[in-house]
Amino acid sequence: MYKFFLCLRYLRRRRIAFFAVAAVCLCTAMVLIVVSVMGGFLQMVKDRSRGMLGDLVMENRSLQGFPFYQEFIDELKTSPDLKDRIFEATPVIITYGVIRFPSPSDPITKPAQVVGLRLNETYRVNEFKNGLFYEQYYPGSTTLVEQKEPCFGFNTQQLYSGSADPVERYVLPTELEEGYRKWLSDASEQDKVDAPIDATLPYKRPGYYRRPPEGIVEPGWYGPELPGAILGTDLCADRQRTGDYERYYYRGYPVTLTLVPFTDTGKILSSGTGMPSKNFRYVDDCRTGVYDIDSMSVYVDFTLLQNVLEMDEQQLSEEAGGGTIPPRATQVQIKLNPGSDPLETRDLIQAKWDVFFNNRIDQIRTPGLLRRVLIMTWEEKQAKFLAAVEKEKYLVTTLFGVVSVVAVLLVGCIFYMIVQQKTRDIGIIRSVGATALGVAQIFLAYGAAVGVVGGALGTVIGILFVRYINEIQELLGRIHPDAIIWNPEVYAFDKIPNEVNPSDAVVIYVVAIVASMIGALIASVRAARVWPVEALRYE
Amino acid sequence: MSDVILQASGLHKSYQLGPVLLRVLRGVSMSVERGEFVAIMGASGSGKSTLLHLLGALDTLDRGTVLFENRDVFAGSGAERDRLRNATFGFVFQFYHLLPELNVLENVLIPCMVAHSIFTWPGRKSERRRQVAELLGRLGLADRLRHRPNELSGGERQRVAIARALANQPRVLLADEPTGNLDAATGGEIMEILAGLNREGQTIVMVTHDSQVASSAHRIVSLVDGKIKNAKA
Repeated sequence: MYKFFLCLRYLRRRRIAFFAVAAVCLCTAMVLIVVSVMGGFLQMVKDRSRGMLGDLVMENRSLQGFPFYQEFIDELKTSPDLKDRIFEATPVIITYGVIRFPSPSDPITKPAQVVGLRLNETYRVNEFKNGLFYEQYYPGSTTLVEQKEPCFGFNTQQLYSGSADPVERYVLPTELEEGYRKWLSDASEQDKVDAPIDATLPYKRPGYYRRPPEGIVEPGWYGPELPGAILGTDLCADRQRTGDYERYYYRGYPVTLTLVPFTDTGKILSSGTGMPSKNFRYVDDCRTGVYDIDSMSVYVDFTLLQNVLEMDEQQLSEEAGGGTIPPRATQVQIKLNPGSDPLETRDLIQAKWDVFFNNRIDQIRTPGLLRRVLIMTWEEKQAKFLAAVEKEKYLVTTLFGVVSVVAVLLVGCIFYMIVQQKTRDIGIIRSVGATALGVAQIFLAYGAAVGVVGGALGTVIGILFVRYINEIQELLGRIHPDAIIWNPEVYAFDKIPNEVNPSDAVVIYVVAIVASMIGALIASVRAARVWPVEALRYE
Repeated sequence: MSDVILQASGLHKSYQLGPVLLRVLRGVSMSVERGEFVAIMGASGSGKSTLLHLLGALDTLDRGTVLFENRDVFAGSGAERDRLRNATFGFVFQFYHLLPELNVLENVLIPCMVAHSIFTWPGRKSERRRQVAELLGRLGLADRLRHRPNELSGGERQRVAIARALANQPRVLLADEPTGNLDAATGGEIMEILAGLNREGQTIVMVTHDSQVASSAHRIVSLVDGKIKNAKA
């Protein structure tokens, strides 16, 4: 009984114990904060690194692409052993080119990775849709088909009826207005507050639109019909300190893409007119969160890109041996049904592909294109990048292991001092019959108590700090702008990760208690070895 | 038949003090009878405190035996000696040796808590508290129960130490210069308490260098250079 009693009494009456509690508390809070924020950050990086990939990716790592993609997709979707595993599969063409923003005063030309995709299938295969800007506020309005420029104008109906809500004086074309109302009805209050509505523009809607041509007041679709293109957000907009983007170009802005077509043998096609160029309209922008993707990518319609690149079905001339080259794609993105094991499915698809292409190898003149096709999980595709992220995680964990050792040493020092101070007391307790083990247990329990109290305080402080980390940073920013550490201009993420994984908190708390006990261990052993007669001479 | 409760024979004890081996006790033999009040006298450094510690199983010896009720104290394990110190012997020290974090009542209850585990203590707690409070009342500390040692006078502290030594109703009370840190008047009060306890039947072995103090005892054992010089009946 005396062990428990003395341990509690020492905890309450010894001021030095508060230092030990404070040390454990701060270390626990710090480790929890860093593990949560870094863990959250790394998880976000990892999630984002997926970019535009489906669960599985099929490609031959060549710009020429590979044929028979559609036949294979059809086979996958009907094959009895695979059709239940596959949710969707869609072909993609990835190529490189140049995008030109033909502003009369300031024309800009940039390199571009041009992605041809089937929009509706892509929505089903990956998170592409969630990254779209205009599609979010005007659902259903983003398409890659030929279209005119949407312009805002006077709400004539409202103007003549006399109800003069100034906010409703200017409106967008009916389709966009309907989409916007749909968004408004589904959006939370916070979403409405966060919607990037520019106060300087006359229409109070998110995004950047133009007035109709001179002499027209009604909202509507104007200008020539051009196919739609979705641009990477960082290609056409500037990220602000607040994390919002400032868009340089209005919706419907015409851009020109110049592309490099390859034959199935990898030769650059030069069919007399030089490189093919094509005009598109900027209909939306997409943010995956990976800067390398968002600053370069242009997404256009799959079939259109295939035609421009002459990757559709081609007749071979007589001198080339005659016959046809089947249409080609550079990738197939596959989304699995929930519960399907990606690795197992990958192997099944690869086996199916090996049989599939062997049956067709004599139908084309470049069988290598088929032979090189590999099916990978998205993690395998991003392995190099993910490995770096993983290494970072190990590094951080190791650093905090070192910090924890410091905490253990600190507790060790404090306990050593406590035992030193309490040597006479140990003698007294021994003289009334306490065992050496009992004395050791007092200090071990004391250590555990310091861990329990300090760890609990630290865990609570850590959880609160992480939860309000963005508010804390905002407050610091108000005191001094340099105190803003997390600059959304630089980072792809708007907010500092602010979630604590409960299992992390529990593990860190338990480790804090164990570490405090380890810290108290040496002192306890020393206390147990105190010779009572010697101890009683202390005065 | 004489009623010997504590019997020491041929006790040898030495300490290593740097390079020098300090031979403190060199073959001490003595016995204490039940109900007796024995004073051990000697100059400073004569080994009287060491002898008391050996009699009370607080230290270990080099050679010799200590029999308590004919059982060899040092033949058993350390844990057995811990139990002896808790239940059979009560120590009173010159410098009181109270725990500064605890109040008077708690200090006196410590030996009782040592005797009980965390599971058996709650059942005995109130009874032991009552006994201890009564004991402290007898020693004139009834209104001091909640005070901490630093709020007490030297005499009061020593009375608390005596109460702690008596808390588990020991068979032998071992006092090491109990008045050594007190003025003559307060020391006299303490001696009266000890004499009173002895009259009630408490066996007491006391170490002192003060012949005035030793005169309260039935018998004085003189220790010179680690040996018993003579014995006065």
